[in-house]
Amino acid sequence: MFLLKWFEKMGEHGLYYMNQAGRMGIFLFNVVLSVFRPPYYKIFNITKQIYVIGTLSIFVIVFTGAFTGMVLGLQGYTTLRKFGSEGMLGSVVALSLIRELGPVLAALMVTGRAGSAICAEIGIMRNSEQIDALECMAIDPHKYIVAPKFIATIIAMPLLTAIFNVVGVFGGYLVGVKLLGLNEGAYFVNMYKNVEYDDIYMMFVKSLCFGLLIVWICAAKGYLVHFERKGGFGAEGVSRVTTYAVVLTSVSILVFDYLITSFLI
Amino acid sequence: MNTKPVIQLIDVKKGFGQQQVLKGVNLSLFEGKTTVIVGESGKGKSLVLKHILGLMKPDSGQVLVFNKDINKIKKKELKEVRSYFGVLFQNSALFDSMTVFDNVALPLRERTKKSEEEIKEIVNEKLKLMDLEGSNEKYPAL
Repeated sequence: MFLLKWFEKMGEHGLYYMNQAGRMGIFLFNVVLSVFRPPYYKIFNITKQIYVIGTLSIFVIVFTGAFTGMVLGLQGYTTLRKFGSEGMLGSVVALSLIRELGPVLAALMVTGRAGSAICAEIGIMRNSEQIDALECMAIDPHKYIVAPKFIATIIAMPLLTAIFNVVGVFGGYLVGVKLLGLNEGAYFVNMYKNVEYDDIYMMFVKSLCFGLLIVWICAAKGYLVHFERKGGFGAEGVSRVTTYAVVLTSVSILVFDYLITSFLI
Repeated sequence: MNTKPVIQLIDVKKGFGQQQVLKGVNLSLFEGKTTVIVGESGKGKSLVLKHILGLMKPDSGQVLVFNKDINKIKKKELKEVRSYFGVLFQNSALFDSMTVFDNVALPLRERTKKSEEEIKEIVNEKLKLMDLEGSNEKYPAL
Protein backbone atom coordinates (compact mmCIF):
# COMPACT_ATOMS: atom_id res chain seq x y z
CA MET A 1 0.00 0.00 0.00
CA PHE A 2 2.83 2.35 0.97
CA LEU A 3 4.70 1.47 -2.24
CA LEU A 4 1.60 2.15 -4.32
CA LYS A 5 1.19 5.57 -2.72
CA TRP A 6 4.87 6.29 -3.36
CA PHE A 7 4.53 5.40 -7.03
CA GLU A 8 1.36 7.48 -7.25
CA LYS A 9 3.18 10.47 -5.78
CA MET A 10 6.17 10.00 -8.08
CA GLY A 11 3.87 9.73 -11.09
CA GLU A 12 2.06 12.90 -10.04
CA HIS A 13 5.38 14.76 -9.73
CA GLY A 14 6.58 13.41 -13.05
CA LEU A 15 3.39 14.44 -14.83
CA TYR A 16 3.53 17.90 -13.28
CA TYR A 17 7.12 18.51 -14.41
CA MET A 18 6.39 17.12 -17.88
CA ASN A 19 3.40 19.44 -18.13
CA GLN A 20 5.43 22.44 -16.98
CA ALA A 21 8.24 21.63 -19.44
CA GLY A 22 5.65 21.36 -22.22
CA ARG A 23 4.05 24.67 -21.26
CA MET A 24 7.45 26.37 -21.20
CA GLY A 25 8.26 24.91 -24.62
CA ILE A 26 4.97 26.17 -26.07
CA PHE A 27 5.58 29.54 -24.40
CA LEU A 28 9.00 29.88 -26.10
CA PHE A 29 7.50 28.83 -29.43
CA ASN A 30 4.75 31.46 -29.13
CA VAL A 31 7.24 34.17 -28.15
CA VAL A 32 9.60 33.41 -31.05
CA LEU A 33 6.64 33.31 -33.42
CA SER A 34 5.32 36.62 -32.10
CA VAL A 35 8.69 38.28 -32.75
CA PHE A 36 8.26 37.71 -36.49
CA ARG A 37 4.51 38.31 -36.62
CA PRO A 38 3.08 41.76 -37.47
CA PRO A 39 2.30 44.35 -36.15
CA TYR A 40 5.98 45.18 -35.94
CA TYR A 41 7.51 46.88 -33.00
CA LYS A 42 7.50 50.39 -31.92
CA ILE A 43 11.24 50.71 -31.49
CA PHE A 44 10.68 52.51 -28.18
CA ASN A 45 9.41 49.30 -26.54
CA ILE A 46 12.68 47.53 -27.33
CA THR A 47 15.02 50.42 -26.49
CA LYS A 48 13.23 50.82 -23.15
CA GLN A 49 13.85 47.14 -22.37
CA ILE A 50 17.49 47.38 -23.52
CA TYR A 51 17.86 50.23 -21.04
CA VAL A 52 16.18 48.27 -18.21
CA ILE A 53 17.91 44.94 -18.87
CA GLY A 54 21.21 46.14 -20.34
CA THR A 55 22.09 49.69 -19.33
CA LEU A 56 20.96 49.33 -15.74
CA SER A 57 23.07 46.16 -15.42
CA ILE A 58 26.28 47.90 -16.50
CA PHE A 59 27.28 48.96 -12.99
CA VAL A 60 27.08 45.45 -11.55
CA ILE A 61 28.81 44.04 -14.65
CA VAL A 62 31.70 46.55 -14.43
CA PHE A 63 32.06 45.96 -10.70
CA THR A 64 32.12 42.14 -10.89
CA GLY A 65 34.23 42.22 -14.08
CA ALA A 66 36.87 44.41 -12.45
CA PHE A 67 37.20 42.24 -9.35
CA THR A 68 37.15 38.99 -11.34
CA GLY A 69 39.99 40.31 -13.52
CA MET A 70 41.88 41.51 -10.45
CA VAL A 71 41.65 38.19 -8.64
CA LEU A 72 42.59 36.35 -11.85
CA GLY A 73 45.63 38.64 -12.13
CA LEU A 74 46.64 37.94 -8.55
CA GLN A 75 46.09 34.17 -8.67
CA GLY A 76 47.53 33.87 -12.17
CA TYR A 77 50.67 35.82 -11.33
CA THR A 78 51.33 33.76 -8.16
CA THR A 79 50.85 30.45 -9.99
CA LEU A 80 52.73 31.39 -13.18
CA ARG A 81 55.70 32.71 -11.19
CA LYS A 82 56.28 29.16 -9.90
CA PHE A 83 56.98 28.13 -13.51
CA GLY A 84 58.78 31.31 -14.44
CA SER A 85 56.13 32.28 -16.96
CA GLU A 86 54.64 35.44 -15.46
CA GLY A 87 54.77 36.95 -18.94
CA MET A 88 51.84 34.75 -19.92
CA LEU A 89 49.57 36.47 -17.39
CA GLY A 90 47.84 38.58 -20.07
CA SER A 91 46.88 35.46 -22.04
CA VAL A 92 45.71 33.59 -18.95
CA VAL A 93 43.49 36.44 -17.79
CA ALA A 94 42.08 37.15 -21.23
CA LEU A 95 41.42 33.52 -22.19
CA SER A 96 39.86 32.66 -18.82
CA LEU A 97 37.58 35.67 -19.11
CA ILE A 98 36.66 35.39 -22.78
CA ARG A 99 36.11 31.65 -22.95
CA GLU A 100 34.60 30.97 -19.56
CA LEU A 101 34.26 33.44 -16.74
CA GLY A 102 33.01 36.41 -18.73
CA PRO A 103 29.92 34.80 -20.28
CA VAL A 104 29.05 32.76 -17.17
CA LEU A 105 29.51 35.45 -14.52
CA ALA A 106 27.89 38.16 -16.65
CA ALA A 107 24.91 35.84 -17.24
CA LEU A 108 24.62 35.02 -13.52
CA MET A 109 24.71 38.74 -12.67
CA VAL A 110 22.06 39.58 -15.27
CA THR A 111 19.91 36.70 -13.97
CA GLY A 112 20.04 38.13 -10.46
CA ARG A 113 19.44 41.70 -11.52
CA ALA A 114 17.22 41.60 -14.61
CA GLY A 115 15.94 38.00 -14.75
CA SER A 116 14.35 38.21 -11.32
CA ALA A 117 12.75 41.54 -12.28
CA ILE A 118 11.33 40.07 -15.51
CA CYS A 119 9.84 37.12 -13.63
CA ALA A 120 8.34 39.21 -10.83
CA GLU A 121 6.91 41.82 -13.22
CA ILE A 122 5.20 39.26 -15.45
CA GLY A 123 4.09 37.19 -12.44
CA ILE A 124 2.38 40.21 -10.88
CA MET A 125 0.76 41.04 -14.21
CA ARG A 126 -0.59 37.48 -14.37
CA ASN A 127 -1.89 37.53 -10.79
CA SER A 128 -3.56 40.92 -11.13
CA GLU A 129 -5.26 39.73 -14.34
CA GLN A 130 -3.42 42.28 -16.51
CA ILE A 131 -2.45 39.51 -18.94
CA ASP A 132 -6.08 38.34 -19.13
CA ALA A 133 -7.09 41.96 -19.77
CA LEU A 134 -4.64 42.17 -22.67
CA GLU A 135 -6.07 38.98 -24.17
CA CYS A 136 -9.59 40.39 -23.82
CA MET A 137 -8.48 43.49 -25.75
CA ALA A 138 -7.22 41.09 -28.45
CA ILE A 139 -3.60 42.15 -27.75
CA ASP A 140 -1.17 39.22 -27.81
CA PRO A 141 0.60 39.25 -24.41
CA HIS A 142 3.50 37.23 -25.83
CA LYS A 143 4.12 40.00 -28.31
CA TYR A 144 3.29 42.99 -26.15
CA ILE A 145 4.97 41.97 -22.87
CA VAL A 146 7.52 39.25 -23.57
CA ALA A 147 8.84 39.82 -27.12
CA PRO A 148 10.48 43.24 -26.38
CA LYS A 149 12.22 41.73 -23.33
CA PHE A 150 13.24 38.74 -25.42
CA ILE A 151 14.83 40.87 -28.17
CA ALA A 152 16.41 43.24 -25.63
CA THR A 153 18.07 40.44 -23.63
CA ILE A 154 19.42 38.79 -26.78
CA ILE A 155 20.93 42.13 -27.86
CA ALA A 156 22.16 43.19 -24.40
CA MET A 157 23.75 39.96 -23.23
CA PRO A 158 26.71 39.78 -25.71
CA LEU A 159 27.36 43.49 -25.15
CA LEU A 160 27.36 43.11 -21.36
CA THR A 161 29.67 40.10 -21.66
CA ALA A 162 32.06 42.11 -23.84
CA ILE A 163 32.07 44.93 -21.27
CA PHE A 164 32.69 42.39 -18.50
CA ASN A 165 35.69 40.98 -20.39
CA VAL A 166 37.26 44.34 -21.25
CA VAL A 167 36.93 45.57 -17.65
CA GLY A 168 38.26 42.20 -16.40
CA VAL A 169 41.32 42.45 -18.66
CA PHE A 170 42.08 45.90 -17.24
CA GLY A 171 41.46 44.57 -13.71
CA GLY A 172 44.13 41.94 -14.36
CA TYR A 173 46.38 44.65 -15.81
CA LEU A 174 45.95 46.77 -12.70
CA VAL A 175 47.05 43.97 -10.37
CA GLY A 176 49.60 42.25 -12.63
CA VAL A 177 51.31 45.30 -14.13
CA LYS A 178 50.68 48.22 -11.81
CA LEU A 179 50.69 46.36 -8.51
CA LEU A 180 53.02 43.38 -9.04
CA GLY A 181 55.36 45.00 -11.55
CA LEU A 182 54.89 42.76 -14.59
CA ASN A 183 56.06 44.18 -17.91
CA GLU A 184 53.22 46.08 -19.59
CA GLY A 185 54.24 45.02 -23.10
CA ALA A 186 54.42 41.32 -22.16
CA TYR A 187 50.92 41.49 -20.68
CA PHE A 188 49.29 42.86 -23.83
CA VAL A 189 51.48 41.28 -26.53
CA ASN A 190 50.96 37.74 -25.20
CA MET A 191 47.26 38.40 -24.93
CA TYR A 192 47.19 39.63 -28.54
CA LYS A 193 49.14 36.56 -29.69
CA ASN A 194 47.05 33.94 -27.94
CA VAL A 195 43.47 35.15 -28.14
CA GLU A 196 41.98 33.88 -31.39
CA TYR A 197 38.79 34.40 -33.32
CA ASP A 198 37.46 31.03 -32.04
CA ASP A 199 37.66 32.29 -28.45
CA ILE A 200 35.60 35.37 -29.28
CA TYR A 201 33.16 33.19 -31.22
CA MET A 202 32.74 30.90 -28.20
CA MET A 203 32.08 33.92 -25.98
CA PHE A 204 29.51 35.23 -28.43
CA VAL A 205 27.67 31.90 -28.75
CA LYS A 206 27.65 31.40 -24.99
CA SER A 207 26.37 34.88 -24.22
CA LEU A 208 23.59 34.55 -26.81
CA CYS A 209 22.51 31.16 -25.42
CA PHE A 210 22.64 32.40 -21.84
CA GLY A 211 20.62 35.48 -22.79
CA LEU A 212 18.01 33.20 -24.34
CA LEU A 213 17.95 31.00 -21.22
CA ILE A 214 17.57 33.98 -18.88
CA VAL A 215 14.66 35.58 -20.71
CA TRP A 216 12.98 32.26 -21.51
CA ILE A 217 13.02 30.72 -18.02
CA CYS A 218 12.37 33.93 -16.10
CA ALA A 219 9.59 35.17 -18.36
CA ALA A 220 7.96 31.73 -18.62
CA LYS A 221 7.99 31.19 -14.86
CA GLY A 222 6.28 34.55 -14.35
CA TYR A 223 3.83 34.02 -17.21
CA LEU A 224 2.87 30.54 -16.00
CA VAL A 225 2.79 31.42 -12.29
CA HIS A 226 -0.86 30.32 -12.04
CA PHE A 227 0.14 26.77 -12.97
CA GLU A 228 2.55 26.42 -10.05
CA ARG A 229 1.85 23.31 -8.00
CA LYS A 230 2.15 24.98 -4.61
CA GLY A 231 -0.09 27.81 -5.76
CA GLY A 232 1.24 30.85 -7.53
CA PHE A 233 -1.24 33.26 -6.04
CA GLY A 234 -0.53 36.50 -4.24
CA ALA A 235 2.76 38.06 -3.21
CA GLU A 236 4.07 34.80 -1.75
CA GLY A 237 3.41 32.91 -4.98
CA VAL A 238 5.31 35.51 -7.04
CA SER A 239 8.15 35.54 -4.51
CA ARG A 240 8.41 31.73 -4.61
CA VAL A 241 8.32 31.54 -8.39
CA THR A 242 10.91 34.34 -8.74
CA THR A 243 13.33 32.50 -6.45
CA TYR A 244 12.73 29.30 -8.38
CA ALA A 245 13.27 31.05 -11.72
CA VAL A 246 16.60 32.53 -10.60
CA VAL A 247 17.82 29.17 -9.25
CA LEU A 248 16.68 27.27 -12.35
CA THR A 249 18.25 29.84 -14.69
CA SER A 250 21.57 29.83 -12.79
CA VAL A 251 21.77 26.04 -12.82
CA SER A 252 20.80 25.92 -16.51
CA ILE A 253 23.54 28.44 -17.34
CA LEU A 254 26.16 26.21 -15.73
CA VAL A 255 24.84 23.06 -17.41
CA PHE A 256 24.65 24.74 -20.83
CA ASP A 257 28.10 26.23 -20.29
CA TYR A 258 29.51 22.72 -20.14
CA LEU A 259 27.44 21.55 -23.13
CA ILE A 260 28.37 24.52 -25.34
CA THR A 261 32.05 24.23 -24.37
CA SER A 262 32.07 20.52 -25.22
CA PHE A 263 30.56 21.28 -28.64
CA LEU A 264 32.81 24.20 -29.50
CA ILE A 265 36.14 23.19 -27.99
CA MET B 1 -35.87 39.69 -28.34
CA ASN B 2 -33.83 37.21 -30.33
CA THR B 3 -34.69 33.64 -29.26
CA LYS B 4 -31.32 32.23 -30.26
CA PRO B 5 -28.71 32.54 -27.51
CA VAL B 6 -25.55 34.51 -28.35
CA ILE B 7 -23.61 32.78 -25.59
CA GLN B 8 -24.24 29.22 -24.56
CA LEU B 9 -22.55 26.93 -22.04
CA ILE B 10 -23.33 23.24 -22.50
CA ASP B 11 -22.53 20.85 -19.65
CA VAL B 12 -19.30 22.70 -18.78
CA LYS B 13 -17.14 21.00 -16.16
CA LYS B 14 -13.97 22.41 -14.67
CA GLY B 15 -11.89 21.30 -11.72
CA PHE B 16 -8.54 22.06 -10.12
CA GLY B 17 -6.89 18.97 -8.71
CA GLN B 18 -9.40 17.25 -6.45
CA GLN B 19 -11.73 20.25 -6.35
CA GLN B 20 -14.53 20.27 -8.91
CA VAL B 21 -15.74 23.88 -9.31
CA LEU B 22 -18.03 23.79 -12.34
CA LYS B 23 -20.12 20.63 -12.25
CA GLY B 24 -21.92 20.62 -15.58
CA VAL B 25 -23.00 24.23 -16.07
CA ASN B 26 -25.74 24.89 -18.65
CA LEU B 27 -26.37 28.54 -19.41
CA SER B 28 -27.86 30.53 -22.28
CA LEU B 29 -27.44 34.29 -22.67
CA PHE B 30 -29.65 36.20 -25.10
CA GLU B 31 -29.11 39.42 -27.00
CA GLY B 32 -30.76 42.46 -25.43
CA LYS B 33 -31.30 40.74 -22.10
CA THR B 34 -29.38 41.60 -18.93
CA THR B 35 -28.32 38.50 -17.04
CA VAL B 36 -26.92 38.50 -13.53
CA ILE B 37 -25.00 35.57 -12.07
CA VAL B 38 -25.20 35.47 -8.29
CA GLY B 39 -23.55 33.02 -5.94
CA GLU B 40 -21.37 32.45 -2.92
CA SER B 41 -17.70 33.26 -2.99
CA GLY B 42 -15.57 30.55 -4.64
CA LYS B 43 -18.50 28.91 -6.42
CA GLY B 44 -17.16 29.69 -9.91
CA LYS B 45 -18.84 32.90 -11.08
CA SER B 46 -15.58 34.40 -12.36
CA LEU B 47 -14.66 31.01 -13.75
CA VAL B 48 -17.81 30.99 -15.90
CA LEU B 49 -16.89 34.43 -17.26
CA LYS B 50 -13.32 33.31 -17.98
CA HIS B 51 -14.69 30.31 -19.89
CA ILE B 52 -16.95 32.58 -21.94
CA LEU B 53 -13.96 34.76 -22.83
CA GLY B 54 -11.88 31.72 -23.76
CA LEU B 55 -9.31 32.54 -21.08
CA MET B 56 -9.84 29.06 -19.61
CA LYS B 57 -10.66 25.78 -21.25
CA PRO B 58 -13.26 23.46 -19.73
CA ASP B 59 -12.34 19.90 -18.77
CA SER B 60 -15.44 18.86 -20.70
CA GLY B 61 -18.44 20.53 -22.29
CA GLN B 62 -18.79 23.32 -24.82
CA VAL B 63 -18.77 27.12 -24.74
CA LEU B 64 -20.50 28.61 -27.77
CA VAL B 65 -20.22 32.29 -28.59
CA PHE B 66 -22.16 33.38 -31.69
CA ASN B 67 -22.71 29.66 -32.25
CA LYS B 68 -18.97 28.94 -32.48
CA ASP B 69 -17.09 26.81 -29.99
CA ILE B 70 -14.69 29.34 -28.49
CA ASN B 71 -12.14 26.64 -27.72
CA LYS B 72 -12.05 25.31 -31.25
CA ILE B 73 -11.89 28.48 -33.33
CA LYS B 74 -8.64 29.89 -34.75
CA LYS B 75 -6.62 32.51 -32.86
CA LYS B 76 -7.57 35.18 -35.38
CA GLU B 77 -11.29 34.43 -34.98
CA LEU B 78 -10.90 34.37 -31.21
CA LYS B 79 -9.38 37.85 -31.32
CA GLU B 80 -12.35 39.06 -33.34
CA VAL B 81 -14.88 37.47 -30.97
CA ARG B 82 -13.11 38.99 -27.99
CA SER B 83 -13.26 42.44 -29.53
CA TYR B 84 -17.06 42.29 -28.95
CA PHE B 85 -16.59 41.88 -25.20
CA GLY B 86 -16.18 44.56 -22.58
CA VAL B 87 -14.78 43.20 -19.35
CA LEU B 88 -14.31 44.77 -15.96
CA PHE B 89 -12.06 42.47 -13.97
CA GLN B 90 -12.43 41.82 -10.26
CA ASN B 91 -9.25 43.75 -9.41
CA SER B 92 -9.75 46.28 -12.22
CA ALA B 93 -6.72 44.77 -14.05
CA LEU B 94 -5.46 48.26 -14.86
CA PHE B 95 -1.87 48.44 -16.06
CA ASP B 96 -0.38 49.79 -12.87
CA SER B 97 2.98 50.76 -14.38
CA MET B 98 1.26 52.93 -16.99
CA THR B 99 -0.41 56.32 -16.59
CA VAL B 100 -4.18 56.76 -16.84
CA PHE B 101 -3.69 58.22 -20.32
CA ASP B 102 -1.58 55.26 -21.47
CA ASN B 103 -4.10 52.78 -20.02
CA VAL B 104 -6.90 54.23 -22.12
CA ALA B 105 -4.64 54.68 -25.17
CA LEU B 106 -3.26 51.12 -25.12
CA PRO B 107 -5.87 49.36 -27.32
CA LEU B 108 -5.86 52.30 -29.74
CA ARG B 109 -2.07 52.17 -30.04
CA GLU B 110 -1.90 48.41 -30.39
CA ARG B 111 -5.02 47.61 -32.40
CA THR B 112 -5.42 50.62 -34.71
CA LYS B 113 -3.21 52.66 -37.00
CA LYS B 114 -4.35 56.01 -35.60
CA SER B 115 -1.79 58.78 -35.21
CA GLU B 116 -0.70 59.87 -31.75
CA GLU B 117 -2.63 63.14 -32.26
CA GLU B 118 -5.88 61.27 -33.01
CA ILE B 119 -5.31 58.94 -30.05
CA LYS B 120 -4.73 61.93 -27.76
CA GLU B 121 -8.01 63.45 -28.90
CA ILE B 122 -10.00 60.24 -28.35
CA VAL B 123 -8.43 59.51 -24.95
CA ASN B 124 -9.05 63.04 -23.70
CA GLU B 125 -12.66 62.82 -24.85
CA LYS B 126 -13.15 59.48 -23.02
CA LEU B 127 -11.50 60.78 -19.85
CA LYS B 128 -13.76 63.82 -19.96
CA LEU B 129 -16.81 61.55 -20.17
CA MET B 130 -15.61 59.76 -17.03
CA ASP B 131 -14.90 63.02 -15.15
CA LEU B 132 -11.21 62.14 -15.19
CA GLU B 133 -9.95 65.29 -16.90
CA GLY B 134 -6.50 66.27 -15.68
CA SER B 135 -5.68 62.74 -14.54
CA ASN B 136 -3.68 61.95 -17.68
CA GLU B 137 -0.32 61.70 -15.96
CA LYS B 138 -1.56 60.02 -12.78
CA TYR B 139 -1.12 56.32 -12.11
CA PRO B 140 -4.12 54.11 -11.34
CA ALA B 141 -4.67 53.14 -7.72
CA LEU B 142 -5.52 49.47 -7.37
